[in-house]
Amino acid sequence: MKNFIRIIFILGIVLALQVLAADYDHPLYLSVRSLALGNAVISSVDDEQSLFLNPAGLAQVRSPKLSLLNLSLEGSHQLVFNSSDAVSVNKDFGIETLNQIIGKNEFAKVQLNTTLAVLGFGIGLIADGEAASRLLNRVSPTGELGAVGTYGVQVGYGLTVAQFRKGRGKVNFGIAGKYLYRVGKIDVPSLSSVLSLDKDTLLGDIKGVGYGLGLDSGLQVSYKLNNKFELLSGAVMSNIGSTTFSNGSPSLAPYLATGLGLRAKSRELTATLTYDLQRITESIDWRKKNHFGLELSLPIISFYGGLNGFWLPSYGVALNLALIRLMVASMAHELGTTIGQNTERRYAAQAQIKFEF
Amino acid sequence: MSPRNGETRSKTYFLNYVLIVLLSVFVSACSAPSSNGSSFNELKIQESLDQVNVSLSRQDCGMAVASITPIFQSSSTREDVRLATAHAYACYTKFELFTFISSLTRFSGNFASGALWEFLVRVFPSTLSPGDIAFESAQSSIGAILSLVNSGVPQVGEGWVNLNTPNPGSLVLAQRKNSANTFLPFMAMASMGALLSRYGVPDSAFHQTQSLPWTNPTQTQGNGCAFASSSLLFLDSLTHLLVSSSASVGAAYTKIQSYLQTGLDAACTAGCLSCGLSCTGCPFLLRDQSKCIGTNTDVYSCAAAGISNLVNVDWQGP
Repeated sequence: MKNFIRIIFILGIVLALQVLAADYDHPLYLSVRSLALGNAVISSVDDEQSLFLNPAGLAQVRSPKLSLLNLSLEGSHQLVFNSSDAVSVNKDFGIETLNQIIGKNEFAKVQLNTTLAVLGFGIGLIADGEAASRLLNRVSPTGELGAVGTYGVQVGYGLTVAQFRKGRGKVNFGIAGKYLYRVGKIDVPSLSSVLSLDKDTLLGDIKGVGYGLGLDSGLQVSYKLNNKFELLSGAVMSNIGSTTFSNGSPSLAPYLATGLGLRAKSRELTATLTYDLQRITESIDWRKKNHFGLELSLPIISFYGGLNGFWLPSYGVALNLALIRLMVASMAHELGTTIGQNTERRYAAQAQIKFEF
Repeated sequence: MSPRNGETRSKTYFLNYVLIVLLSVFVSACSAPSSNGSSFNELKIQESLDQVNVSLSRQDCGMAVASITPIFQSSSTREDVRLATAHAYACYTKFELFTFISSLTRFSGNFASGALWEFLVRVFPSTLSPGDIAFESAQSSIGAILSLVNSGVPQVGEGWVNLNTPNPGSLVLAQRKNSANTFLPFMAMASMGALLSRYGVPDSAFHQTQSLPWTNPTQTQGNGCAFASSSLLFLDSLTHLLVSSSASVGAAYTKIQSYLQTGLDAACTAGCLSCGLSCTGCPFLLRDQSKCIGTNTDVYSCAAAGISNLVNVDWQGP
């Protein structure tokens, strides 16, 4: 009976958090590993990058881990393989060049972060730039247009709140706060702003730098079935109450995600199968909520595969060369309301200098 | 408590947790909206709105119209659906905003003296062949635009069209939303341009080779009235478009506005006079393209005939 009441209580909290969940179109943190895994990492992340993905994972970090430099780049297929249109629009902004980019998804994101984690504490500095040009509709152009720059600091703490008997598993909880500055705007241009044919009007009139405060929290539960297999589970609530910016730049919307995982370890190989359910209460295509990932880690090389939005494939490979980690990944991303409507392939690369003491 | 019991409890806790996650999945699945025959859920509406935008990026007019029409004709219709419907039909008129603006700024004719008609047939070519539905689509688009009415406007009195449909429309500029009045001039031009192309049969220099056939009030029912209606709706909403437009484009609109403001009123008055009727300027309800009954005693038919006469006089011949 006690357990039943506990389940109902926790379920109530989960549902209450779900009610708070909202749009999650532009996540701030760029994790190339997450992209490669089809965005299914909530239950399995357990290194210093947990600070941004699920702060409960910080509880697993006991000895100091320093990610001195973590540079990540992401670009849409159009931008990576045919950037001439975007370049010409930027050089010669006008009617003719604008017409060229309608129906083409130009997207780029660059991120630099430095993270230190030790004894459950984590601190990270982040600098991010994102630009998008996704104009649709030749009759009356609409879509996303603009650029946003974000930088700031995130601090978090994760701790083990309960342990299963015989050290079979634990329940970790984490919380992280962020203080961010943001400049710019990615927005849907109105017809009147398009008609003005003025670059500044079209790209929005956000002036100056705005600051915003945000809060993330997370939960992770792990349970060892035996020496080889471990069950994983997690939940994360990011940007609780929404992270808004004082200058009117786009806010970071709250979102809730839950995840499950199964990790199998042998002497050389660690395989992790993960599943995430994201944007839980939103009335979106159910397929967009479902994410699957598989990670195969060997001492030097790791392989990744996933399904982002139920069946949009992603994949990646990472090289762990002593202090340096290099990774490339590709992921299909759905821009439309339903899967298959306006799918874009993105490519990402990461270079990281990392110390573990 | 024995160690065995402790282990069992640990397993129970974990299974409880997994159960919660699975319950969340279930709740999430249950929260997925459903639709029934006459109304559409939010997801379906958003999907269709997206589909219109994607299709119009590829100039796939058929797909755009097919995606949005069922919602437009249902009780789920609303502002964004009406606007998307207007955009979808606009595709068949070959209207593309940036291309249009480019043509307007490059046009060398004098808008102050009737070059408007030449410009319209340049930009909106159309023929009487069965597959060409440019004019019909422009009219459908205008119908959708007129239905973008400000909330709280009572549907009483004259000046309403399509009252017995899910999309009643207002002929009064001030009763319509800004989004409607910004887009309406383009479709009014498309409607006029298609009719001028079909019945004025322009030559390679876009000069008129045949007179418009609606100069007699008895011939105005249908296309003649639609031409007059489009002209007046165009003039009404041009002021709105002027405010949003860049200086270079705005200068062209100002000239067109000045030409039409004096030209249309004078043409309507002359049309009425030729029927032995009296009207000062164009009757307000001539904005309704179904108003002409095609008789010499009908003020709307007479005014519409006057507008056709204006074009025949001002549009340069071969």
